[in-house]
Amino acid sequence: MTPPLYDDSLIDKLKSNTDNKLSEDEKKLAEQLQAKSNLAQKQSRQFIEDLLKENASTPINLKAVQVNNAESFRDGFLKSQITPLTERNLVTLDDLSKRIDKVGENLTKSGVVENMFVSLNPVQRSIFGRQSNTINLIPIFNLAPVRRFYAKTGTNIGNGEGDGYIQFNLRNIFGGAENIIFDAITGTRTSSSYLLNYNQPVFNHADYIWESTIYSNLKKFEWIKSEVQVKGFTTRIYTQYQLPFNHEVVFENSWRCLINKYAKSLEVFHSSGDDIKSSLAYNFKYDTRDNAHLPTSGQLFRMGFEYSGLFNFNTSNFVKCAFETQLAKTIIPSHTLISTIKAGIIYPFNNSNNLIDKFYTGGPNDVRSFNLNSLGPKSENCSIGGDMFLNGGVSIVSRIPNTSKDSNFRLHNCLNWGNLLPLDKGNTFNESFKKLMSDFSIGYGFGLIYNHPMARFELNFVLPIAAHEGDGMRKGIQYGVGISFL
Amino acid sequence: MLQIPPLVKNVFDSFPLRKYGPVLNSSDQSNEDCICFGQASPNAENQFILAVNQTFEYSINDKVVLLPVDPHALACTLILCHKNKLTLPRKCIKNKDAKSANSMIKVNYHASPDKMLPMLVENNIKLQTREVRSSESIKRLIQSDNSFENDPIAKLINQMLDTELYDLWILCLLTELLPNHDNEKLRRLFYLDDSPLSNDYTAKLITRSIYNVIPCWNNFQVRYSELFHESLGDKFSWKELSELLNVESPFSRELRTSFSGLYSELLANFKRKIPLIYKYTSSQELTKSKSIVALKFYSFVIIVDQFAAGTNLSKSLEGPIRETLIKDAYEAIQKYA
Repeated sequence: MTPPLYDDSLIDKLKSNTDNKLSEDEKKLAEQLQAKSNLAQKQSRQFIEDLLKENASTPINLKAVQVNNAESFRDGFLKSQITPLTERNLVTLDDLSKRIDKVGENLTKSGVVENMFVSLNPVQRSIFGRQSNTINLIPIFNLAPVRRFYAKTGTNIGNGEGDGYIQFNLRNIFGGAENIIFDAITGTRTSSSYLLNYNQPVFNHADYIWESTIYSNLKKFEWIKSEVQVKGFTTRIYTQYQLPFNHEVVFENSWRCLINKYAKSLEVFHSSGDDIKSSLAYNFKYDTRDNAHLPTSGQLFRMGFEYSGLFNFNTSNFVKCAFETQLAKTIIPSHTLISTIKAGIIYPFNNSNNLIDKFYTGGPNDVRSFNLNSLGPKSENCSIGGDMFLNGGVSIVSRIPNTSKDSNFRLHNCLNWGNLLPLDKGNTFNESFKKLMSDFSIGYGFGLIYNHPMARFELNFVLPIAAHEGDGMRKGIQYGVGISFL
Repeated sequence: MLQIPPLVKNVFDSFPLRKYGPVLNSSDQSNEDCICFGQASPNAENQFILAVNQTFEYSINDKVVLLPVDPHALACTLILCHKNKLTLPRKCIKNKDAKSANSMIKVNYHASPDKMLPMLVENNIKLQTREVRSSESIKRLIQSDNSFENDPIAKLINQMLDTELYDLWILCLLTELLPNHDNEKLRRLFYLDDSPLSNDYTAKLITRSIYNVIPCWNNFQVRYSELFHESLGDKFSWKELSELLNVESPFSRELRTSFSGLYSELLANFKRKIPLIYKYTSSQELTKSKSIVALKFYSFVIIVDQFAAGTNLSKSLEGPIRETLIKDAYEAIQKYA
C-alpha cells in the first residue's frame, strides 16, 4: 500500500520540531521582551491619560485649524463644520477634546467622509513671545472623503416585505454634502418603485437635513385586493441630533390611484380612482433605547400629526394623529421586558376617508397571531381598515440558558392586543373611546428571536386568545422579519 | 401519518377562547342617498348593483329617472329593466326605502378590474355570496341568454353594436369630446370629484388619466393594436413631451391622426348601416333577441343625442330618419319609467 500524500503524523512531527526550535533560555527571553513591550505601552497610555487629566484645565491657544485633503469641499461648508474649533481661540484641553469630537461628528453625520484622522501639532513659541502656561496648538484633520459616485444592488427586508433594489448615489456633488440618490426597487409588495432623492444640510448645519424626493411607485394592497399607484414629490426637513429628541416636518404632494384588482367590496369600488393629496405633517421622536430592533433598556416616544387638504384641488381632506410609546427594561439579569402601545385616529372632513389613508393593523410585526392587516372592519373578505386604533404588547425577551451573553438568539414570550374601528361621527369622544377600549383582539405567542444588526427575525408559536368575527387569525407558527415590532 | 393526540387537538381548536361579533363598518348602517331600480320583488333571491361611470337626469312624464351616460351601461340598464320587469332607476334612501334592493352606483373606472364599466354586482341573499361581472362578461351573458344563436341577423347586428358602435363612441371621446378641455363635459361624462377640476394642472392630470384608460375599453387597444405600435422615439421625443405637458391630448400626433382616420372610416360605415339597423329594429315582429338589439341601438342613439351634440358622430345621424329614430329611442325607454 502506498503511503498517503499528507501524513498527519508527519505534520505533527514538523510542528513539534518548530516548538522545539527555541531553547528554554530563548523562550524566557522572548517572554521577557513581550512583557517589557506591554509594560511600555501601558505606561505610555497611562502617561497620556494622566497628562490629559492633570492638564484638563490647561489653557490651549488654537492658532489655526488645518484640514488636509479638503479639495472636494466648499470653503463655506468646511468652515461651518469646524466652527466648534474656530469660534474660540482659547480653550481648555478637556474642552478641546470635546470640540474635536464635535467636528468629527459633524463630518460623519453629513456623510462626506469615509475616514478621518486627527492630530495635534504644537506651535513653537516665538523667541520674542511672552512666557506663559498656554500651549499653542494646531489641530490637523486628515480626511478621506467619500467616493463621489457609487452604485449598489441588493435586497431589503422590511416589515413583512422583501425586495431587490439598484441604487445610484452621487455624493457631495457641490462640496457641501449635497447628495442625489436614484433608487429602483421591485419586491413582494412593491411591484415597482422609482425614486429620485436630493438631500443636503440646511445652511451647512449637519444636524438639519433638507430632503426632496420625486417618486413613482406601484404597490400591492393585498388586504383590499387592489394596487395603489403613487406619483408625487415630498420635501422633508428633519433633525439628526445625538440628543434623544428629534423632529421632522414633511410637505407631501401626491397623485394616488387605487386600482381594484379582484375585490368585490363596495368600499373598494367607492375609493377606487384618482386622489390628489397635499399634506403637511410634523413628527416628533424621543428615543433613549440602546437598540432600535431589540432594546434592553430605554424609552421611545414618537408622535405624528398630519393635515391633508392644503389646497382646494385636494380630494383627501383629513387630520391624522398617531403615537407610539415603548419601554424596555431589564427586570432581572437575562430577562428584558418590552412594552409597547400604539394608537391613532384619523378624522375625515369629507364623508369618509379614502382606504389608502386608513389605519390597518394585525400581523407578525404588529398584533401577533393575526394575519397581516386583518383586524378591523371587513367587507367581502377585504380588510377595509379603520379610522382609530389602539394596539399594545408586552414581550419578555430572555437569554437562552447555557449560551453566551453576546448570543443574538433570544427566547421570546409575548402578549398582544389590538382594536381597529371605524369612526362614527355621530358618537361623542367618550363613546368612541369606550368602544376603542373594549373587545380587544388578543394573541399570545412564544418563540425564538434572532437579532441581526440589520433586522430582527422572529419565529413564534402563536395562538389567538380573543378575536372578532372575520379577523384573519393565525394559529401555530408565525414568522416575522422587520425593524419595528409591537 | 402522524396522528395528533385528541387532547392536543381539542385544546388547539378551542382557541380563540373568546369570540366577539364582527366590527361593523360605518357605511353599513348609514342612510345615504342611492339610486334604485323600482318594482323589485321583495322576496327575490338575487339582488344586483350596477356600477356605472356617471348618470344623468331625464324626465319621463314628470318622473325623474337617472340613466348612465355610457351607451353600453344604458343598454345594460334597459335590458335589466326589460328582463326583470323593473322600472328605471331613481333616487332613494339606502336601508330605508324598500325599493333599494336593486341599485345603481357611480364609481370610477378603476373600480373595475378591466377598467371598463358597467360592472354588475350580483348578491345571492340566500347563499350570502357575491359575484362581480365585468363589462365583457355582461355582453357574453346577454348574448347567450337571449337566443341569439337562433337569429343570425340579430347576432350579427348585436356584434356590430358591441364593437363598431362602441368603438365610435370611444373615438368620439378621444378625438372630439375630451380634447375640448371642457371640465363641465368631463363632469357630465365621468364620476369625478369637483376639487381637482378646479385647478388647471390637476384637471390635466385627471384628463390624462382618463385618456390613458379609454383605449382599454371594449378591447379597443387590442383590436386596433397596429395604431398603438409607437417606437420609443415617437413616445419620448422632446417635442412630443413638451406637447404632452401642454396640449389636451396625451397621444402622439401620429396616433391622433390614426384615430381621426379610423373615426372617419367607421363613421362612413355607420352612416351606411344606420337605415338598415333602424329598419331591422323597428319592424313589427319583435323576437327576444331583436328586442335586445333594439334596446342597445336606442341606448346608443340617446347617448349620442344627449352628449355628442355638434360632433361628427351626431352629424352622422342626420338624415331623413333622424327625427323618427330619436323619437323611437326615447319612446322605447319610456316603457320602463
